[in-house]
Amino acid sequence: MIDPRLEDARRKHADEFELLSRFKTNAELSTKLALAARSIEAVVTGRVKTLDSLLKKLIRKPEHTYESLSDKVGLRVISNEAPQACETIRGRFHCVREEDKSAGLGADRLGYPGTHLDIELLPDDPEGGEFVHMGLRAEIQVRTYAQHAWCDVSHRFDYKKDAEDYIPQKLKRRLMLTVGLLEIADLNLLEVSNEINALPPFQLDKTLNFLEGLYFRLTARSPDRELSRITLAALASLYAGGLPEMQARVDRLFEQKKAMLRQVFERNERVPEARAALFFQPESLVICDLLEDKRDALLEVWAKIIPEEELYRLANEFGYSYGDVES
Amino acid sequence: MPLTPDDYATLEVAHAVFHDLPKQWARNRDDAIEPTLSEAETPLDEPGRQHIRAKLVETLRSPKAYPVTFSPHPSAVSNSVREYVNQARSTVADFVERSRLYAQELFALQGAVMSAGLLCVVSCNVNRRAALGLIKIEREEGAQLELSGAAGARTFTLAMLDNLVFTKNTKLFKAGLFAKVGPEADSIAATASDIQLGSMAHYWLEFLGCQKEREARVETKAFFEALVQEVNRAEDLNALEKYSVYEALLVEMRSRRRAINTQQFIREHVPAAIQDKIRTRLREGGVANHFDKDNIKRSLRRKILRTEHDIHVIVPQDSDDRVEVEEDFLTVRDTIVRVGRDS
Repeated sequence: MIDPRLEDARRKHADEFELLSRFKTNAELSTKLALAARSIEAVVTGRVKTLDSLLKKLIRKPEHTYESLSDKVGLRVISNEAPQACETIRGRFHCVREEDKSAGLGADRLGYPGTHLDIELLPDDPEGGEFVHMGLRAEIQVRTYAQHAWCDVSHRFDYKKDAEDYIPQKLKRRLMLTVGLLEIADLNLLEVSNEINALPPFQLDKTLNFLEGLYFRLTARSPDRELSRITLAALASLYAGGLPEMQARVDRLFEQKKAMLRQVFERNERVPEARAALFFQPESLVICDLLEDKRDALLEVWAKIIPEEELYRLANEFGYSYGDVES
Repeated sequence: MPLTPDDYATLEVAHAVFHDLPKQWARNRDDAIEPTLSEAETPLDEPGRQHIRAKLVETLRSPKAYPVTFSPHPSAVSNSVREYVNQARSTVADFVERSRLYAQELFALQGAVMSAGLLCVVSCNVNRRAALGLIKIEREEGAQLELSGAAGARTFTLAMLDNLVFTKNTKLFKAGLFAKVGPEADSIAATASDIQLGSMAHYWLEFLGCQKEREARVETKAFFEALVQEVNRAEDLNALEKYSVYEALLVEMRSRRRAINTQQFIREHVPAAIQDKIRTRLREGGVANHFDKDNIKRSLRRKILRTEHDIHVIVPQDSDDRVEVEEDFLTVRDTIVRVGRDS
C-alpha cells in the first residue's frame, strides 16, 4: 500500500528539484563570498538531497513530512576556523535553528560532527534574487578538517551497524583512540593557529587578505602587496583597537557605502592611470574610512611614509579636501 | 541639505565650456573690451573630465566653501540653473547657450577692479542626478587665448587651457555647484566657494542668485555652543586645558577677523584628545568649516563672583537669575552635571 506521505514527497521533490538546485548554487556562492570577505579559508560544497536519500530519511523519521525536512538543500563548510565561519553564517543569513552536535556527547564519549545551522535568506539579501521571499531553507554543516575526517570514516560504519557486534573489542578501541587523537589534533591546531595569527605580521596579512576581499569586489587591478603592508602597519596606529578595529570599520564602511565606492572605482577604471597613484590599493578603503573623522591624524601618519600630495589626491577621489593645509 | 563628501565622491563631469572674461579697464572707453564666448563645448577626454572634477571638488570641499540656497531675489543665472538641473533631459546646445548667458551676466557684474578670468561651466552629475558647476579660474594677464574650430562651433581646446590655465598652481577663484538631490522638483543642494577673499565676495553670490544657507549669527552660535559643550563634557581634559580652549575661543570671537576657520581653530587650540569628537559634533551640527563671524555678545558676557575663600563662580548672563548673592552666602540653583578635580 502506498504511503501518501512518501508519495507526496516523491512528487514534490520532482517538481522542486530545479528550484532547489538553483537555490543551492545561490546559497553556496553567498556563503563563499561571505567567508572570503572575512578572509576565512574554507571549502564550501553543496547538494540537493537525492530522492532515494530523502525517502529513506522520511521512512526512518515518520514524524517528518517533505516540508518539515530542513536539509533538502545542504551546504558543508570545512574550515579550521569553524567558530568564525559559524559567526559569519549567522551574520549573513537568518539563522532559524542551530545545533552543536558535540554538545550532546558528554565528557566521556568521542565523535563530533560539528555545528548544524538551518538558515533562510534575509528579506533584504543583496544576492538573494528570486529566492528572497520564498521561505526556502538550507542546512549548513560547519566542521573542522579533523571533524570532517571523523565524519567521513564514521559514515562508512553507519551502513554496517548490524555488523557492529562482529567488530573485535581491540579494533573498536583503536578506532576510538584515533578519534581521540583527531580531537586533540584539532584543539592543538586551533590554539597554535590562533597564536600564530595573533603575531603582528600574520595579523597584518590577515587584515590585508580581508581588505583584498573587498577591494577585488570593486576592481581587478593588481595592487602592490608590499606597499600595502607598509601602509597598513602605519595606519593601524590610528585605530584604538588596532587591526581588528580597522577591519571591522572598513567592513561597515563597505556595506554602507558600496554604491559610492563602486562609482568612484568605476571612474578611476576609465583612465589608464588613476590621478591618485595609490588609488588602486586595498588600503584606499582604509583611507576612505579615516578621512571621515581622523583627517588630521591621518595626514600626520601618512606624511611620515609617503608624500602628502598622494593623500590629497586620494582624499579628492573620496570627496574630501585638504585645501586648508595644501601649500 | 548640504552636499556631503559622498556626494562629491560621485561627482562626474560630462561637458564643459570655457568663456574668457578679460579685465574691464573702463566701461566708458570707446575700445571697451568684450568677453570672448565659446560657441561649442570644449572637447574633453576622460583625463580632462577627471581633472576638472578634481578641481571642482578641491574648491568646493575647501574650508572656504559654504552651503547656499537660492535667494528670494533670483538672478538670471539662478533661474536658468534651476531650470537646467530640474529638466529630465538636456542637449549640449542648450547647455552651451546657457553657459554664454552666465558668462555675460558675470562680465556685466564684474567691476573694473575684478581680475581677468575664465568662466568654466560644467554639466555634471552627482549620485547620477543632474548637476551644474560654475568655476571662475585665474588667468594670467597677457596670456593668449584664442578660439579654435569652424565658425559657429568655435571653442577653447583643453590642450591650450592645460598650458595656460590648469597648471599645477592654478587656483580657482570662485566656484558654485548645484546638484539635484531628489526626484521632487527643486530638490537642489548648492555650494559656493571663494578662495580669493576671507569671506564670500558679494558679487559672486549675487551672480549665482544665492544666499548663505545659515546666517552668520546662527553659524557662529552653533560653533560656539558645540565647542563649549564638548569641552565641558570632556573627561580627558583637566581644568587648565579647558580654560585654555575657552580663552582661545573668546580671543577668536573678539578678534577683528571677519571669518572663522573651524578646522584651523581646532588644530591650533583644541587638545588632540578631543579634536575628533569636536569635528564630529560640528559636522553633525552642520557647522561649515569656514564661515563669516557674528558677534554673539550675550554668550560671551559672563559675571564672575569671587568669595573671601577664593571660590570662583562664573555665571553666564542667560543664567543670572539662578544665582542669589546675600551678604554672607551664595545660592546657586542648578543641577550638578559633573564634579571634577584639578590635576
